Amino acid sequence: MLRILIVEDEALVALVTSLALEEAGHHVMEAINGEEGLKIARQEQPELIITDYMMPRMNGLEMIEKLREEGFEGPIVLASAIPEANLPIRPQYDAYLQKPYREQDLLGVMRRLFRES
Amino acid sequence: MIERFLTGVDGLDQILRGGLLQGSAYIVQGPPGAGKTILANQFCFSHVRSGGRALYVSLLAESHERMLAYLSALSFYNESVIPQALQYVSGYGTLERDGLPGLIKLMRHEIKRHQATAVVLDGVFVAQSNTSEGEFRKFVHELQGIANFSNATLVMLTHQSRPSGSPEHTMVDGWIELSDEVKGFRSYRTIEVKKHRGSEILRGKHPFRITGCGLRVFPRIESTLTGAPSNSRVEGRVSTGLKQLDELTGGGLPCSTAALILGPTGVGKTTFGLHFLSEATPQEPAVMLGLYESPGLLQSKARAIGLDIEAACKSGALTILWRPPSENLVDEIAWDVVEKAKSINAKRVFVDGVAALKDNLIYPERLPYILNAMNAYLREIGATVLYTSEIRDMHMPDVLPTDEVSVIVDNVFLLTYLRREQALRRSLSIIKLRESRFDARATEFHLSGTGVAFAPDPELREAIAEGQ
Repeated sequence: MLRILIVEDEALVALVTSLALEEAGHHVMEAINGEEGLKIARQEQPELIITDYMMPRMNGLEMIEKLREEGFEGPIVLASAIPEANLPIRPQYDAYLQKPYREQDLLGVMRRLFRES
Repeated sequence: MIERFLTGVDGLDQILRGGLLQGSAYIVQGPPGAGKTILANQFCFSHVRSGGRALYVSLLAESHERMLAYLSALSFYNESVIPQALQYVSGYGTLERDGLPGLIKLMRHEIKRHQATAVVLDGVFVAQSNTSEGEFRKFVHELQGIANFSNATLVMLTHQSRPSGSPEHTMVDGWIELSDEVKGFRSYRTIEVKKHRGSEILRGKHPFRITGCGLRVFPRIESTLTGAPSNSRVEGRVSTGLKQLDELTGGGLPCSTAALILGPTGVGKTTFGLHFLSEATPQEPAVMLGLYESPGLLQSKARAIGLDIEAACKSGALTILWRPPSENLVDEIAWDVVEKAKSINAKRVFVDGVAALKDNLIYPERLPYILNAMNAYLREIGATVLYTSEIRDMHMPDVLPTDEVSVIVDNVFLLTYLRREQALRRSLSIIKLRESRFDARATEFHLSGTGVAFAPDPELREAIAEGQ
């Protein structure tokens, strides 16, 4: 079981991702923007963060940058509809997941990440 | 003078008299599937194309990825501007947790953070559904204030059909309504700008279609005529393409006027039109709108009387617009003709035929106004227009079934059949010719291997003689 933080402003995406991860036996925490994600990550030190890019208050890339600056070393998955090549900056994330993703895509990325680590 | 932003939807910008006003707030209302989301996105992409920054905030459960996947099939979509110039965020979670005050703070923060000059709030009904009328009024008021303070244009989308007295409608600067209407078996889309504070508008409903380019709005062409009609007219005469008809009319049709050829089926109306088009040159080109025969059929019809339409099209002397009978939007057709004629500076326009245009109209009583507007625009470029229209009477009718069309054209020709010596013969009568003397006698003609010939048909004479 992993403690996973989902940072996602779109309620439906957050809901189906949470359900899939809980069904897979993980403990899920949710934040609706980068600012909130940063706060929860600092407090809870999750074992995995899955974050959206375009979000209000603070976007996913800014949040990742800040977390890495503060020394967060856990794996981070960036999920976005924006092609990876179009990202304006490349903070240190561990996997990129093209939206819209399916359950097997998400679980596949997680399997790969944790096999590597 | 408040700056304006084009919506990127040509016809809509025309209705709005130049687009949306900077710093103003608009409501776009319409039922699900009416095209609100496409319209709002078209505006956003157009806005960033012209150097602005746009923010799209959704209160809907539908994910942005799904929406973008649908939008990516449309020609205005440009992936490369997302998210640097065009940002999509959801306000749903904030609204759920912190209510309208939280959403207001979020909107303020996001407009500032993104330095947005255009903002869309999609799903305003979600904000309205869980609150009192007073709270909602306050929300709209505050949102408008925030947008105005940031000098951003705000567009709110809602599918609720709320009355015009609703607070949001009284408060906002502009109100645009999209409708999906049905008459008989036919459904059609309309757009209406009900309010635009500080700006003129083209009032009433205007047809639109959702195409691969997004929304295409076709302002009711008669509503776009402003002021008194221009009396500018090119002097002189334009050949009809038939030497003898030119003689009958004192040198052809008066320049930049509109003529109507009335006649029953098969009498030769299109053939007269083909003669008229045969005078076109690359320097003085022509446009034909065909509503019956396909270009292929027209070519063979022309070839049969020694006219080479194909060569005329290739040389640029002729452009054929063919709109086969179907559920056409007449305003779209009318604009296509006017814009094509303007783009090539056409001097001749042939519309074959008016009855098909009328059949395509949701409200047929608009026909004379539409033709009048077309004439006005075509007159501006010095084009002479020829229309054909079918009548039911085979012989000289007692009453011209003109549907008021003949009133708005300058010249009217009537083609009829005559029954004489056991045969049907054709005859042309000039009913009116603007400011011109003309030969009022009916003139017999027949269709020969070279087209219209003003003489009794020699083959008919032989056949009758043989029969006797």
